[in-house]
Amino acid sequence: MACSFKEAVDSGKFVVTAEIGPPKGTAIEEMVHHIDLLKDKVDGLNVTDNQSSVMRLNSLSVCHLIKERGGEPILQMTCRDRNRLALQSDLLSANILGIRNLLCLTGDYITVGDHVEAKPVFDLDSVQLLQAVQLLTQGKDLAGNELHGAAQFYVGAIVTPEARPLEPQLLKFEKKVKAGASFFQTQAIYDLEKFKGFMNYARQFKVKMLAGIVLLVSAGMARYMNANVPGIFVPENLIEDMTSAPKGKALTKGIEIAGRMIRQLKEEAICDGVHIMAIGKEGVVPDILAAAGLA
Amino acid sequence: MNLSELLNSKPFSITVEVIPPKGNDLSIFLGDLERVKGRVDAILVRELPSAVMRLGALSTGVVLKERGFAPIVEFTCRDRNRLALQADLLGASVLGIENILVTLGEDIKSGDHPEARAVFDLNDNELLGTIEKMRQGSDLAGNSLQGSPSLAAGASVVVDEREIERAIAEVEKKVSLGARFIMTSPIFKPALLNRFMGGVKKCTLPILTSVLLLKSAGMANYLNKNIPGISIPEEMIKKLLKSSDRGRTSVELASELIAELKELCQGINVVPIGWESKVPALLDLLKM
Repeated sequence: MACSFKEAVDSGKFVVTAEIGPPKGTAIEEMVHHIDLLKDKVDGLNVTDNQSSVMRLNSLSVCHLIKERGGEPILQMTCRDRNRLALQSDLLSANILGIRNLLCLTGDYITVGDHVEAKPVFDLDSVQLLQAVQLLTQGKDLAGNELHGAAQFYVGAIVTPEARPLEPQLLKFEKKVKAGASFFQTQAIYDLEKFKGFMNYARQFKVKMLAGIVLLVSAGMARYMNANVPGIFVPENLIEDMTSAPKGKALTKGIEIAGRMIRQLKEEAICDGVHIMAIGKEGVVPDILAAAGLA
Repeated sequence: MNLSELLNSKPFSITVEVIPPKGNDLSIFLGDLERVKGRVDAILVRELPSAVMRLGALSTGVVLKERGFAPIVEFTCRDRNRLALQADLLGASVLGIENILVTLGEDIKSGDHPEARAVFDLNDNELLGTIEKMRQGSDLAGNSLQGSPSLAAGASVVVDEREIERAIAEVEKKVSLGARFIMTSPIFKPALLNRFMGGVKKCTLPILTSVLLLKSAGMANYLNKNIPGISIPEEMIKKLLKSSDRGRTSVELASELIAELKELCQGINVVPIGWESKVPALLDLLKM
């Protein structure tokens, strides 16, 4: 991408970001292939940080690789694995390596991951991390010490529009806005009428909203998420769509559904863009964009 | 060639340890380093020494590598749990950083964020063992890796003249866990290094001896009193007291010490703590 993610967002265009999941090891060929495939088709590439508490290649190094290949990385940073010293130090590090976009998250429970005996750190939470970022950009650290050179970030956070109960989620959202989040990438949404309701609320804040699009690959996946992932609700009609897909064509159906949703979000100007999470299927993101009429 | 291969390949190597800035401005930091470029074998990048929040060691190592230096990146156990430590180790390898120095990390209370949570999910020996496990293709929990990292980990050992047997036992332990080189705490007496080297001879791994630039008699007295393992001879302190040019005296003392120590071990790690600008003068005296 020739222009930065912030420039793309500020331009008022309908922005698209996609997610890159680093490998569990040093074999980066497949991931690099996905980076090269997507870097010129989207406005930013999120790199997950030990997602689901599964130990993987670190986000910062992958963001550096994306930058080197001419892409626009968005560094995801959770509070689960590092204390405030390491978090702030990594933020300065990101800047030194030319990484300017940041997504602050609290992080999943350690117990869902592959090192259940690891110590959960949570020295800060996502709101405090956002506050730390704000201070670093003002030339100070979290303890008030002066920095030798201030940081620069375009910083975002996440929100779950279909959280139940919703009230605590909205309070957290407002805290994140106040702590300096300029953009939000949402948890997966599937029910656009409900999402419009959430956007009516969110529009009162001067933040950019990117709707989370998780590619459905099977009816089973949809049912699994409904049963197990808090805040994700795939409506019955979409599950039926997935079920009715001919054998071997479920992925095609999932691409079609994602494309249709993105098209509607854009045409009705419901939000400012989308964040596509094609977990493990990054290679089909261009097909989703084509189905959305964005390619 | 990684550090341990380098240390074994030549009679004497020299490294300099550096502390990244507290912020994003690298100009002074890199300016000092440009003056030692080509004159030292590697640069040890410290990770948040004394628990002061600074620019990260890994990213600084990447910047140094891009500028033609050979970095050694310190990994402490204080600020990251095993997920982040292993993820960052994979990152180091992917970015071409092979040399790692494993340390425990100083007390968080001594730093500039005393209210931060000390992590210590692993200790330094466990981290060394983890690196060895990762090199062999699996993570700490036993899951296989898609591609194992290429890393050469070293360990630091406090060489205290009152507990020399403990230091020797520690080296043996670290070797058994996969350490490829050992870096000592600052040593001021050749006789002490001689005793230590006699004890670790059978370990056959390269030893880098740390040499500290003493800035003043006051600093020397403070270290003698407060830092375990450090014992600075009286005559050095006297020379600093009498000196009219402490910077000059400091590098002369270091140079004289290195001339003796280098005969005993495979390399010297210069520890300037703030006097990075004096390192070129020291290298001049050493004819390096």
